[in-house]
Amino acid sequence: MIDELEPKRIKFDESISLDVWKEIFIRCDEKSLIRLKMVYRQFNSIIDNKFWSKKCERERITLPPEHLVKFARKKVCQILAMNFDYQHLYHYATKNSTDPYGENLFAHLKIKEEDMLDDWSDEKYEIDGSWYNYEIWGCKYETPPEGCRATESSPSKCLAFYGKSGARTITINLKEAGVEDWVMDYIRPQIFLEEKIAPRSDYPAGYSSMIMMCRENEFWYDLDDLGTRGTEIQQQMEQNAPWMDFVHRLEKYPAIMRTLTIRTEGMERNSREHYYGIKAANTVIHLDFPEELHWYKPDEIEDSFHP
Amino acid sequence: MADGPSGAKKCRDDDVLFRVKSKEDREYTLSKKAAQLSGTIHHYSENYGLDNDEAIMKMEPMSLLEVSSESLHHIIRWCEQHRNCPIWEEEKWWQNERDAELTKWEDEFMAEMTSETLYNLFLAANFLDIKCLLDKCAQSVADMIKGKSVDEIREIWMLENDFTPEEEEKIKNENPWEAILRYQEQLEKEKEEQASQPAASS
Repeated sequence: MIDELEPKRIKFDESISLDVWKEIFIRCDEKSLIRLKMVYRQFNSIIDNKFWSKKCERERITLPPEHLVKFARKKVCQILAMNFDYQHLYHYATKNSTDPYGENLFAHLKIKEEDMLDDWSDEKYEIDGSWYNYEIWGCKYETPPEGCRATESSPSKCLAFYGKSGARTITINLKEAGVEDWVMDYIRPQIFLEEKIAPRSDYPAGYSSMIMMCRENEFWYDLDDLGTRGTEIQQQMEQNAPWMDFVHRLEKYPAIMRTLTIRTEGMERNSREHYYGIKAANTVIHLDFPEELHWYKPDEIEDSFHP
Repeated sequence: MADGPSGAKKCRDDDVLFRVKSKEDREYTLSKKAAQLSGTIHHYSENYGLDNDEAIMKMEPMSLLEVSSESLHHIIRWCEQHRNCPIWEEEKWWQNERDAELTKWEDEFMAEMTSETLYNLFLAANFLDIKCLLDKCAQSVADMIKGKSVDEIREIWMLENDFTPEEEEKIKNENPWEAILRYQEQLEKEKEEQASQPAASS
């Protein structure tokens, strides 16, 4: 047994192959790696962008899709001296426990369903994460969904919206989630929202979905209309309709946008039984990069709030 | 036939024994199942027709010229302990949920290693391509430098600074992350302090 007071030391020499170094480094934490670059010349060259992409893969952080990387590389040679910085992705994805290029950003929001309001009320439930904000007002969680048509494919739990004014607002700082500035400005990922929705079995119900982009430090409620920043979709459902797949996609928005806002509201035509409203489940939010990518010019889409 | 390390004997059942020879020409044996954890031995078996028990029983010992007797002794202990784990080809099974008892055994095993033996074991595991052991060794070495400064890392790994002062400056400038991390830590600390203040005054 080694004396505990004596720190362990290992003599590393030329006999160590690059592969062995990589095996060690891939297990080091971010801070150690930053320092290792300054320890030894060879380390500095081992810990390069490719190394960081391997590190991301090891921590199960989804890398940007290949067609996007290829497209960016082609454009980068012509226009910008930039490419994907995998250390950037690693840093934010681990710091904030996100996966910006993954299948579902919503899944990384730390929502504690058991803490949520269990009855209709005027109170709000809010979580202020480091990179997102989640707020519901006049909503409740139901497990299983109550009083709506159940089929085999019905979800096991849902968020039920108070008919007239139940609302859910999710804001996500995409920069803090790990998306680089140039991706937000030149590529502009499409925003994709998908969820299952259903009315109560004894009442028709309405649902409205808004997706909007804001600058950092700007709030959606300070802007009085969507302008070129976002879109809204309204969906009416007949009484006793089965669960349907709702999809909302925001394809275009101006440059300098960093904060994604998704607001969902219950929208009743008939509010006699006022708490009856729409239900939503299996929410998916993700950044989408279509096969045919477009390289945006900064002023290609006018910002209606800062012309 | 020479005897293998005593620790390994216990876990052998009826499995046929694979013969290996260390750098110092000392012979060891390990069960066929344990041997299959090594990619190098696996490939050797394929090339020399050692795919059935009969052939293995008649085999000449496989020379491992890069592995010392001491390392080989530890390697065999490790492999016999892991003989029921998936074979070497199945990548990264050790990252999944695993046997707590085995993990405990591994930790005790690593704690026994001095720096010198760890270093040799690491190279031997690399040579023999035993992925689960390589993982553990690499993790141990990585843990050595956690939270250490640049100078401390050089000391632990006994490395000379091979940068010129100009290069050092250049790398610092190209590498803004140290400053970013420090800044973020500072922010978090301030946030915590702010959060704890009202609680302290009331």
